Amino acid sequence: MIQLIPGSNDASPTDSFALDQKKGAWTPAASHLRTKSFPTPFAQAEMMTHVLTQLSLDPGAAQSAPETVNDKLQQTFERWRLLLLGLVLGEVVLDPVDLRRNEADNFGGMLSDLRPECRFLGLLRDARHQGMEGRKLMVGAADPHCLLWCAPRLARLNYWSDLKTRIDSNPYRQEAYGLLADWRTHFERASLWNPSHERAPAWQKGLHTLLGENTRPANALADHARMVGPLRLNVVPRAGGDAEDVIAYLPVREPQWAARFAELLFFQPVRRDAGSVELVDPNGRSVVSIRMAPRTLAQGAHQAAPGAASAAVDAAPIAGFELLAGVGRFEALANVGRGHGQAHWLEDHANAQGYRALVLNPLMAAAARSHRRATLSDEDVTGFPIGYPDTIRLVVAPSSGAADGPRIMLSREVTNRAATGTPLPAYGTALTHWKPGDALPAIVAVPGATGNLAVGLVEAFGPAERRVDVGELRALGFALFLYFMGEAELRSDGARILWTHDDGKELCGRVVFNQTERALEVLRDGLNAVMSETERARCRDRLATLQRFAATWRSVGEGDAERPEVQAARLGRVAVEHFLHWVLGAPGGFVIGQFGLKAAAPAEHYVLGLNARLPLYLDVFARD
Amino acid sequence: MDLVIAVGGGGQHIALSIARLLRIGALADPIEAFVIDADSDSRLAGKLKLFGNTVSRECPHPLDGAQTVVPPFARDTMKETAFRKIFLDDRADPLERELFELFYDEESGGVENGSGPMAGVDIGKGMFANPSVGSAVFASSKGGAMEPLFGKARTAARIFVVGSFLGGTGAGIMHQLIKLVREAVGPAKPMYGAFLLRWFDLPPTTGQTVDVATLLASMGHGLEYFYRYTKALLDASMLLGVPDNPTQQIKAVPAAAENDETLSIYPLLAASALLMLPDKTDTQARAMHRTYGLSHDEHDPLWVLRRKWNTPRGSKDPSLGARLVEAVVLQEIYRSFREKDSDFADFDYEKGRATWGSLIENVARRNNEKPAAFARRVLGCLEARSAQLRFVTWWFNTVFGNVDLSLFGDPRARQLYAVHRDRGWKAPVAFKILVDAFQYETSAGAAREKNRTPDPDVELAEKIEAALLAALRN
Repeated sequence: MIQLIPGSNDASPTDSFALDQKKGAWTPAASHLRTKSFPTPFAQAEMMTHVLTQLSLDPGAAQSAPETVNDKLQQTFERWRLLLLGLVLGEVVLDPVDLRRNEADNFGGMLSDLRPECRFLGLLRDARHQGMEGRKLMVGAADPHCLLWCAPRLARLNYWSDLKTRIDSNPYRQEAYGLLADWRTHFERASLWNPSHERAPAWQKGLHTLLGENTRPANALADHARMVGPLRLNVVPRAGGDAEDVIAYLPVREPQWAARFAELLFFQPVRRDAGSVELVDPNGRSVVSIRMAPRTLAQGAHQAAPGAASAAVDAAPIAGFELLAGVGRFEALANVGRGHGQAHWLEDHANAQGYRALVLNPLMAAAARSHRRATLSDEDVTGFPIGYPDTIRLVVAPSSGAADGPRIMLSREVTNRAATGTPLPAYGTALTHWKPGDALPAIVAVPGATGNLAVGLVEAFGPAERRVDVGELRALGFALFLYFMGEAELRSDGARILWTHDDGKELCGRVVFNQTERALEVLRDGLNAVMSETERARCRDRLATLQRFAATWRSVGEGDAERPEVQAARLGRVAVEHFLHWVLGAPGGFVIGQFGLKAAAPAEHYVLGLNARLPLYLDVFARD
Repeated sequence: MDLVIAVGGGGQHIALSIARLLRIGALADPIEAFVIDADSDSRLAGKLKLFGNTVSRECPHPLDGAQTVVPPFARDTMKETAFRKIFLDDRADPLERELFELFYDEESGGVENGSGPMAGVDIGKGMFANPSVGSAVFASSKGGAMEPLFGKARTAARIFVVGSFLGGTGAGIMHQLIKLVREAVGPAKPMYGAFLLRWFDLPPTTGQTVDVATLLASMGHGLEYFYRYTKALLDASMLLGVPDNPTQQIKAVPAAAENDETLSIYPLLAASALLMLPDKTDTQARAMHRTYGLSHDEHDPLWVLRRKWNTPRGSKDPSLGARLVEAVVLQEIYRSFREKDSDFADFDYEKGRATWGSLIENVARRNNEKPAAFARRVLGCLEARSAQLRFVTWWFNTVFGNVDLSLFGDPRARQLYAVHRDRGWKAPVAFKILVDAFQYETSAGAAREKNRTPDPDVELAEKIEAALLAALRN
């Protein structure tokens, strides 16, 4: 018996047979691939899916390139690569659009009716080229199966070769690969990475082919990537079961983005209307708006067309689609470097709600609905951070920097230096982790904090080529030295260390800002002193005192790191060592000896917090 | 009532097969058709609508609903038939224009103010083997022309969607149609699909928009789409097409000229899905969504005729060959009636007056007609029915050749077929069985559900045929 099926040469013992799998012979030859033969308006996406599905996962295998024998084919792996890298490198931007918006009219409605799961479509626009009516040129779109597909009308504009030039000459291309490898890692950890599965989504085959086995994760996604989207993506769970869709955000390379985001938490969140929360600077100016509910009014879609008419969005239900509908997305992100206040706004203040109450908690609830969960925990976010907008991810999921210590709030002396363009630090070294003898940390978290946020003392920050010197730690060391010499003292209320030998200048102490008390801040006079060569020379001239001072502090800081008093002692020791480095590093500097009479015990303590007391030593030869 | 939704040219070919099978009793009523095609004036559509010019007052269409071919979109009321203009008018927002040009290239979607090839597809002239355009046009006008379909689908006991994955219209709208019907009827309604893959060849000409490679691309990509999206919407489905090394009987035939019917075994095989798919579907495991193919027995050219189809009441032979034997014998009988039309009209045959003569006279009197005149009108109806049978057996003879069916049928039918085959047929044979059939007059034909009230002569002709068939089977 002959099977009555094209592509079959099989004999059949029965008069009928099952055909539960598509036959490979039905696939048209490369030269006959024909996008318009797909019976759907989403034919371009289907063709890209087809092309990616044909990729071989065998290492070193020569990949087919159907475009070489089929010049009508617009969807190719090479163009997929360009779009993906272009997106990560910022050459291509993602512009999510609701196909039910009135502007999309009948065509958008038809697309949305046919594939309701694609109602929220990610459009790809070129960041540099203009298209229709001054808008950014539309170059592709997103799809759950192939991730990205190409606009079919660009070949005659020579667009793809132009994009190839831009991508392949981009100096950060390897970083983009690393970010994509990071992104892949999150799918692997969530057991959603399965490119060799028979029903593997085409985009996973494409990404696997693009990255290969050798592209190492850059571990930069947490700190140096802004996430855009989200996109609905088809996955096959490794544990088995049917293919399903997940919501995921794509990374865009943005160095120090996590740090910049951390700065945003110094702006007060204010609910302007039910649909958004704005973060405002101390002058009440909006720095950024965070979408909290899907728009009830559609706006002109694009910055280049601000005059576009507004109209009501179709009232089709969006419950369960909040993230896809834009909830949690940044809007109108202004200069994040704009000067912010001293107060950190993650938690509530006395008279105003903080970011957690106004933004994070509602977004977590919306994200839970979007991810089809009853509730969402911090562990859910940390387990699959790419499934959440930055407005959640960067608050809940720790960045890699956070592994070195807690999140810190910065003094005005530090934040004023944001104008240098060097991203500000967001985390400080925990003194539970640093121990005497380790490399000196440049940024420390002051122990004794009761909330999620510690006071940070910053000696310097930024990359080596753009190092920004602050001097807070050596200034604290300087204050301890003055106290050691008897030139400074603790004010009677214990709140400040005063330079009694210089008109009672305030060197450091407690400050209250925006009704929030900070346990320790290095004050302007202290910082000015350690910027002065005069003071530096004066300290260096007191060699014997310096030796006793060093000897005293060299014996401090050992012990159980979990004890607050040990941490406080280590703070003093770090500050003193920074101070000594500064003094001894002066022109004509010298090496200090390992001898000298130590002070036996602290004369008194500066209280940082419960059980965390900074010891204040007095030289045995100090004058009364 | 089962509903057959026939889509595009392939669907009409299968619908024609279903109608033929219904006419000879190889499929059982009640089945209703809903036929969809962009070109409702083609020769093929005409052949389906008029069942080969045999549909008349005297003899209705064997497949209810097949007299009408519904376009998938309201082409007649469209101001513009350029595909682009269906969506984009002068007031279209730039976003909609951008989206349209993102989804469709210049060849399909044209350009702004374009003319000639740069105007894109003109759907008023066809889909040009462009399923991606067809699907969009269909999806955008689903609320209009298709609205009656959804009502019929909701009340149907079972739904069969038939068509092909070649071409533009059927291949373009099939998948979206199945999706919409499934949404309309819900997940519990039994719904099946029978689809033709490559089953004909286009003539080797150059410069055409559509060639064999185009058809194969539509088939390949259509199947890709089917397995990814559509298959799971159907309880079971059947795929049929020409294998790589076909024997003569199952070769791809040249497509008929001028969009007429292409004569091939494949539409008949696809029609068998109406029996096979429900039989194979486990109602307890409907989530299986299985797809089936058929095998051809190259050593038995008549295997299709041997297959079990519908078993009419009284018959012990459920094969398609048996029904064909009956159709051939009926045509001989009706021809004899014509040859001896005076005898038929005047009941001038043995026991004629006591049997059909008495009945016909009674009906004629009730309708204030003279019996002989009324009997002649009944004869006219039988001749019309004979013409339909001829349309059926002609098709089988063309596809299978003039094969000997002597081994098929119930004994009386087989005996009379042998007489026909031996060219020994005489008119008295016809009148003899007519008189014998009278004993089934009250019972025959009661099983068929009627959606209409036929004229008395038509009804009596149907009764005579039913009784003759009962006599041939018992």
